[in-house]
Amino acid sequence: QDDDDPAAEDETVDTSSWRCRLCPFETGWSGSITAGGGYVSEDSFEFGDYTGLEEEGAYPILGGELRYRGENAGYLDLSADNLGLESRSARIEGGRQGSYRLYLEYDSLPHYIADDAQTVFYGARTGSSNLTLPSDWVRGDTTADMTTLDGSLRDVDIEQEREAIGLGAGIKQGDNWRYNLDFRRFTQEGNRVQGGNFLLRSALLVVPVDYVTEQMDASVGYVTDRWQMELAYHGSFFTNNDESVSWDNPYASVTDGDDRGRMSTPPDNSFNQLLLSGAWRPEGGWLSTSARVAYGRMEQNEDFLPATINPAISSPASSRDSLEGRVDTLTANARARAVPWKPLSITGEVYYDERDNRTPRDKYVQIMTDQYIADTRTNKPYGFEKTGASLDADYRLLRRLTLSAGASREDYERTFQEVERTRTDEYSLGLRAGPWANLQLRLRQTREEREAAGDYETLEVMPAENPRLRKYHLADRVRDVTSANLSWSPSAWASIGVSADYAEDDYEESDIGLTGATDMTYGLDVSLVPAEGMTAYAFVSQQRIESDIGGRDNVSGAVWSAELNDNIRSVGIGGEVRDILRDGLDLGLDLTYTRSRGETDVDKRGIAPPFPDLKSDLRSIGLFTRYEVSETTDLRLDYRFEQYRTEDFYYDEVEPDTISNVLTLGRESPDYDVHVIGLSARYRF
Amino acid sequence: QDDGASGDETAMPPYTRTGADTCLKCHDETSEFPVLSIFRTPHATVGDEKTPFAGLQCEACHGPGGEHGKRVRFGQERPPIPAFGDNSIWSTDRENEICLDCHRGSERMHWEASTHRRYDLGCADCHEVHDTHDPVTVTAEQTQVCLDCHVEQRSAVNQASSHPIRAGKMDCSACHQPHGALTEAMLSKPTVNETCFGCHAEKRGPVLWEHAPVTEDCTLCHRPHGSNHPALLTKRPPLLCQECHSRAGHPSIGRTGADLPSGRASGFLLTGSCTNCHSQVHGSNHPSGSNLSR
Repeated sequence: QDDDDPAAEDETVDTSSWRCRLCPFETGWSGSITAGGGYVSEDSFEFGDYTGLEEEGAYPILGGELRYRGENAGYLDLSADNLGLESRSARIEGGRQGSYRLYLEYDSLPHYIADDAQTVFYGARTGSSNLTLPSDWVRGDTTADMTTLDGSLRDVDIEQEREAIGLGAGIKQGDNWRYNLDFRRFTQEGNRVQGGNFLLRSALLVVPVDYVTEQMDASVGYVTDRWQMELAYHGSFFTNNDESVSWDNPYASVTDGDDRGRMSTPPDNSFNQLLLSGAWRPEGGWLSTSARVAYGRMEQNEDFLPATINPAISSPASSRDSLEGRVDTLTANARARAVPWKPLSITGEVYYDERDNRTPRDKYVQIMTDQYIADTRTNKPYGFEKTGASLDADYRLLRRLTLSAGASREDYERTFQEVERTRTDEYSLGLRAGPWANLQLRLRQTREEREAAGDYETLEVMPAENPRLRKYHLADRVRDVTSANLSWSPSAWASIGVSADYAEDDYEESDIGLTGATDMTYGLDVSLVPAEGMTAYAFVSQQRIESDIGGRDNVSGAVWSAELNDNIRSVGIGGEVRDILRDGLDLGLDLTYTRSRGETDVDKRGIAPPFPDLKSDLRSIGLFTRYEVSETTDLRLDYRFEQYRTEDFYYDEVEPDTISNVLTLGRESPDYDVHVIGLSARYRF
Repeated sequence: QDDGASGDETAMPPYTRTGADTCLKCHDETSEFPVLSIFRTPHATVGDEKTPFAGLQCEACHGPGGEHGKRVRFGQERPPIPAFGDNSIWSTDRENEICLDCHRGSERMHWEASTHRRYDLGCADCHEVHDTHDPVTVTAEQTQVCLDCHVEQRSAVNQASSHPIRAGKMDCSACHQPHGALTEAMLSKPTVNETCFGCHAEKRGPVLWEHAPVTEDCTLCHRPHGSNHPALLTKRPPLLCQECHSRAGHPSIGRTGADLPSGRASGFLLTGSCTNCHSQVHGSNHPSGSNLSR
């Protein structure tokens, strides 16, 4: 194809009379401002999650963009969205096109998790890592014995805000050199739910989240038409401003001094990585190759917390004050595509992925849940080494018929796990056909077989693990995947797509643990352009995910089997009409419905009551109309309605004292009916 | 388009006599194929000597338009433009070469042997270069472009638990490199976990007491595109955990409807189930945290 490159013709074209008189090149300043207001009809964290529309009431609509284009390719772009909401974002970028660019950006992402939680702990609402009980708290053996519980409950919102500031620069030097430097700083603040236990008695705590992650990326690249190289650095530095969470034990004392517990929080850590990438393709287009090698190091050396804060237990001597954790990662990938003769193309790939865990091993006396001295354990710094290769061929048998075949092999070695090495082989066959120009069909069938090399050696632990358990990521497995895709354009104004994907996993040697799984997805899409300025679409998709799990109580007791089915159906229809009724009046409509059902069937001696289904139904209507009042001004009216209904037996009807040994937050699964209306004007200049 | 390519695509028709002025006589804002928005894009920045409008103008990308632009007799079908138009003559690979001629570097480095290329995808299948804001480059709009083909993922992002994709605050390219990557699922980062740690660095560690699957592959427990279960989990505890843990005592007990609030209201089933106590499922750095509860 390179011989046909039109660029090669450039010099022979006489462009002396190409004046571009009719070309409306953009120079100077332009932009738009959007301003208006909206109203949300109901408080709902679930509805407002990520969008910032979580509260009933009015909200501002404010955004815009500003552009500058200079004669000498200088440019400046400024944009801002959702300025009146927690989901606000802004970006400014400027430079000289083809030479350099600089940017600064900001993004805020609100994550609203629950607005119906209640806690008895002081400090939860202020983001403290020291959670205390009221002075009149009555400790109990069970939650029912906590007689001051009801009077001590206070509302607490579970929410987080993630803010990101990024800045960077890119330079192009000459025809070949590229330099890039990017820096990003994320902060994540708020709280989350975490269980805190004393043996088998627990309280769901609201613990603070106060994270900072800084990232740096720098690269230098050299690009030519035939080959290119890039050397890059990636650094990521995580800081947690809370080193631990401490909380009062709400349960009656079992051992001396177990009044308080303390747990660790994610420790500060860092990751530094060097990446070298390259690509090469010789003349003639018969071969193209590319590769990347990445060497990284993860480190963590935060000071250890004491083994317990129980004053009645003397903290055992420890051989080290911090982990000196270090993991070296090495990832290498190379791929080549060859076209030995026109109808045949072959793609080959090799890869290597290593997690070399250099973290020192040591013995640690376990003080179980700040209550008693248990056994001494040695840490297992998990590592692995993965090596693989694949070969795929596409053969164009006829002009409209391509056959494909592929094979791959992967060897996976792990440390400290039940299986030292697994081997996975995969074979695939495929077909792409277009019997008519307006019809495309794709079929693909793959079989993947994973086998352990050697025995599955059950870890020796007390109490004993069931020796028949096979962990699903280590177990022998046969996976068959079938996918079919048809796209048909019966006319220039209509296209229809049908797809079906089916995957079946058979863990043939497993009877405890995951024994089988299937995943089926069907989809139908229709998109229409019935007339100029008019578009319409409709889609239906259905997914069914099934899993079978086997178990046995206490290794030799009652055998049980579980079947899980998730059924998700999505339906949507909508369209947009421009210049309806009069010029400049546009109308759009979107209707969607997503229905999810989760079935859980556990068969144990045939006498257990059934579980109710997990249910969620999301219905949504979106309607907009836009009217061009003048050449510079649009008015836009948006209306959105969402109805969400959920049933979740894990949470519904679970009050703080419903479970005798878990003091919960009393959350329910969310339901809402929210209407949002927004009116805004956009002024362009 | 590749399959449908017709005619002699190696032959080069003549260029127009006056370049863009020839094209724009017909393709103004009132035409069936209006094109003027290109002048509000980087491709029409004349000060940059590498942009099409500093060179062969429209024909830099669309190929020589001499045949397409000439007068046709009444009833005669107008010859198609060679590239990037209805019934274009040139193959998808050849059209892609036009784009790659300038955009070969950086994230397009691995395009040549990529899955998208293997399936005959063209740059123009996703990109609308005439649009001032090419939708596939706008976070809030990109997802719709990708989900047009990726039907399974469209089902997933509509599920009860998902990344902020539906809200328009995260796009597919936050994790994936659609121009080709040497990794599984065309991830931008070298591995699945490095991709996740980009936003979830607190789970990176290493920590003292690691949970083996966490160090290996986040997708062993999470469905990144969306799930019917909280926290993008593939399924709920306790059954999620019991796929790998069946030790004597409470981990091995099959929980049934008898454990609901209407029955014994078991903490081994309800709310967070196993995580009510083993809440450090991503690993613990506490010296006494070997069972992931400190």
